Amino acid sequence: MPTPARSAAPSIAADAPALLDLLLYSVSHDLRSPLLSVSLSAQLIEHALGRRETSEGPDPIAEALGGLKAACDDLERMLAALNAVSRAARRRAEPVSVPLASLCDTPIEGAIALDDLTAQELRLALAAAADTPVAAIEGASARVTWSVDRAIDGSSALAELAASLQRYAGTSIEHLACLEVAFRGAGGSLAVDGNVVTATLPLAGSPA
Amino acid sequence: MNAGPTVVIVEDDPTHATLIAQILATVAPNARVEMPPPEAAPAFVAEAPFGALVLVDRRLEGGDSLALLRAVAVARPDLRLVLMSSFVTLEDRDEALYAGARSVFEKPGDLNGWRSILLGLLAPPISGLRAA
Repeated sequence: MPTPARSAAPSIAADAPALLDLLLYSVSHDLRSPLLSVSLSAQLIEHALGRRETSEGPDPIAEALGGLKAACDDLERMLAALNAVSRAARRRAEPVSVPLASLCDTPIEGAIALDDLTAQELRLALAAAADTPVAAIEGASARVTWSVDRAIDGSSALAELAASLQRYAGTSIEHLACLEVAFRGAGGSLAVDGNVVTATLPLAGSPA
Repeated sequence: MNAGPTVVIVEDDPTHATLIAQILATVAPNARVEMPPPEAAPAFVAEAPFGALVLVDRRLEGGDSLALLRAVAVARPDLRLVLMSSFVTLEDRDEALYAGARSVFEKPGDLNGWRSILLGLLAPPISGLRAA
């Protein structure tokens, strides 16, 4: 008879991605709650004290509260990035058919299958592209390629964001990371080579 | 003197509840604010004054508050139920509205954001207008 620990181990291993996703969801929600308390307390203290001016230079209390608020803003930015990734991973909307020509302004037949929100985010990413996006069909997939202003060291925006939330939260790399997660959920992928981004997405009507 | 609106804050974080009450005091000094502990919230809300504004946190002590919303929406349709959360997804919003919340908001990180939301929630409904 297996020990409880042995019988539990494979189950934990199998559920690891789901557990990590749950952890990401919990962390992004639960940590914001005390953060809000700290941030709002600082603002209420500042409001209660009013504007304080001294003839001997900056008010140390105002400076300390300013530092506290700046730190809260920074934490909020990073938690928002975690939440954005968590949301991208949890999209459950049914995919709709998105014509490639509507994405790339090029006369190409065919459509990809994406949920509305992800399609909207892809459109925003393409609108901010540093060059003209290009689409091509390969088998049951479509490839959309575009350039971004900021080159990425590795091939995964998500890996870059995970490596440094401080550096990339709130930047275009965060948005690419969310697209990468959402595309994976839709049966596609997103890869980066320098500043060239390639999305591979299932064609509408193709088996996932 | 006119009695102010009653606002019930259902929060499992007492610090949050106190801060919301403090912000409420700056936008509605006459408001009567109640902060029942989550375990007492269902009974407390059931007895709330007619038309009270009830702010309910999305997550209460690890669980969700949708069951509370559903029960109150049926038993007390006069109450203005509002769901609030640290983060609100589209699914959260849809579920809360379906459960009976009249509106849903994501808790802002700044005072002005809170004031704006609370003022909007406390504004009396426009009377004298009829749907076409």
